[in-house]
Amino acid sequence: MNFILFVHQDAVENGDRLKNAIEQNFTQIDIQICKTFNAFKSRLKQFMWFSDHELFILLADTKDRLKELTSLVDLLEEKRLILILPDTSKGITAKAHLFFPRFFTTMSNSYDDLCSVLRKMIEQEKILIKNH
Amino acid sequence: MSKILIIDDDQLICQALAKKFKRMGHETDCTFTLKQGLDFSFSNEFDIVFLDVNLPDGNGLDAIDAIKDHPYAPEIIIMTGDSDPDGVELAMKSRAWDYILKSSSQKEFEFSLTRALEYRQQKQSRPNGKSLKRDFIVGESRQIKICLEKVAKASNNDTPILVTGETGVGKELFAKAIHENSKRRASSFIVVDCAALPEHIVERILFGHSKGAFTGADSDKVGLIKLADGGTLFLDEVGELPLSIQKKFLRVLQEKRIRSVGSRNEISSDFRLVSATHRDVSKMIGKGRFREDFYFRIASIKIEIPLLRNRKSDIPLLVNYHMDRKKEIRNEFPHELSREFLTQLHGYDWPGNVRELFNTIDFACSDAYNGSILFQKHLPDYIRTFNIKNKIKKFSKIRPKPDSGELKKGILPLKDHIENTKFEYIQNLLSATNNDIKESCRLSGLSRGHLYRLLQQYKLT
Repeated sequence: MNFILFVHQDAVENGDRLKNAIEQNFTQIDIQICKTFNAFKSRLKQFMWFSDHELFILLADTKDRLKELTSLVDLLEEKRLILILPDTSKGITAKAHLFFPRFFTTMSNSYDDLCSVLRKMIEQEKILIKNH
Repeated sequence: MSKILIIDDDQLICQALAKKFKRMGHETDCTFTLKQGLDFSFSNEFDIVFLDVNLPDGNGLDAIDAIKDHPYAPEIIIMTGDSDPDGVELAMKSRAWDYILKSSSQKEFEFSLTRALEYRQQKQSRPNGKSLKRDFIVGESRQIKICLEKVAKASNNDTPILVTGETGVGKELFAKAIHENSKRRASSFIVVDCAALPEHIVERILFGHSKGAFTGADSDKVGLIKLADGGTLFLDEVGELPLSIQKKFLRVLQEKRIRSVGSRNEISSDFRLVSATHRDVSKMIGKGRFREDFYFRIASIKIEIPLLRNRKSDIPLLVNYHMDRKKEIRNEFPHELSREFLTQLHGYDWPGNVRELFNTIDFACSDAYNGSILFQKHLPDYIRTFNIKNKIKKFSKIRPKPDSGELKKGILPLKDHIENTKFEYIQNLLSATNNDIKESCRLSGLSRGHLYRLLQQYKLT
């Protein structure tokens, strides 16, 4: 499985915490990081079709960042993705579900839950490949 | 006044019923063969069709789908001289309104007709599938229309729904459509991928937790069930939900109240539950891997999404839709489809359903690059191999021994050869017109009734 992370270059501290948590816990996984909207948009246009082997992890560290990401929702159609939100207020979660995320959580220091979910998704992918 | 058609070879019964129905104030027509009946029903707008089972030129039960596919979709009352339990089951599954024995009294016929007309009036007075907000659900096949009718009905209430179907059929689109057409559409649609949640965190993700409930719980956190308050909670892959959580969830469904992990207080959440799974839940119940009581709670209404191979007439629509989306969203180079390309798509079995179809189109477009037309050459090898193998298999069935010395045996009777050619012609005609009946009639010079008859004969409806 590949992880494609969207961590905006302006989300310095929060972004580093997320990157570190993922890089330290998933050393065998290929991780690509997009730091700007344009880079992320290009990446989304590059590979169109649905893949069980790709997982998008998007950090929406602010309300405005989530709003900007919402403009890419059409390109994210049929993609497996996880959202990291600034909080779980009604407005934020309503927007978050436009993405059909497989999981969403809020920013934290450890990202334990996120890592547990990612581990389960990797396990599932292995089972899927084995059964295929 | 309603319009009624009686299709029965017994002229005495036809006359007696026609007289009765006319006295009741309805316009009534009679036909004595299936062929005449179908022609008549296709070229008129009947409210009710009384249909005999054993007709001289065919079985009435086989014609139910064709009659129901008419845009006016009359209600069908099956009548028969025999009491055949299998026939009853088939009639009911085929969307017939009622099944009545010919030996029934005239009062019973009158009652059945009155009830069917009442039902029809009620049905026509409420919004149907066409007024649904369908979003990304594409297709005009009978199977999809049945699903959309169920979505329309389910959207009017708060009953829990279970959406089933193989991977790639688009279960989540139907779940979303139920939400978008319900009174809860202004509130949240919360998705929970039960397959992605490890057992040790699923409870607190769903129910939430309070500060100090476990190591690392440094603040209160609202669960997804509470976030769905006022809206819809969508449990995707519900078959993966641990048994212990099913038990807790059952209580939530009964009481609409939740207690977050580590909390003493209960809070309310008014949500509508939609679940989905690709698994056979009844088998899981048998193996003790799913709670029966939970299943009955979440599956008050069941919607099974059809496989793509069972609704191949939707393939051209799906392909066009996907190509348009690609052009609109990604500003991609537009491609046209060659006839052979579409024929190949029709021939394949699509085990990965609509998702596989879309991926295949993307693959073909990428392979064609700047070429403006998609040819069969642009399809993945495994699809072309599958179709060639299938063709060889079919050919072998017609000619079990294609020995050069016995070539004579491979020659089909002229009648069969003409039938095969007609079948292929109709298939190509439908592909070329994207199943547009009006356009098909114009191109082929066939009358509407004749075309419908051929569609039914070749089971292309």
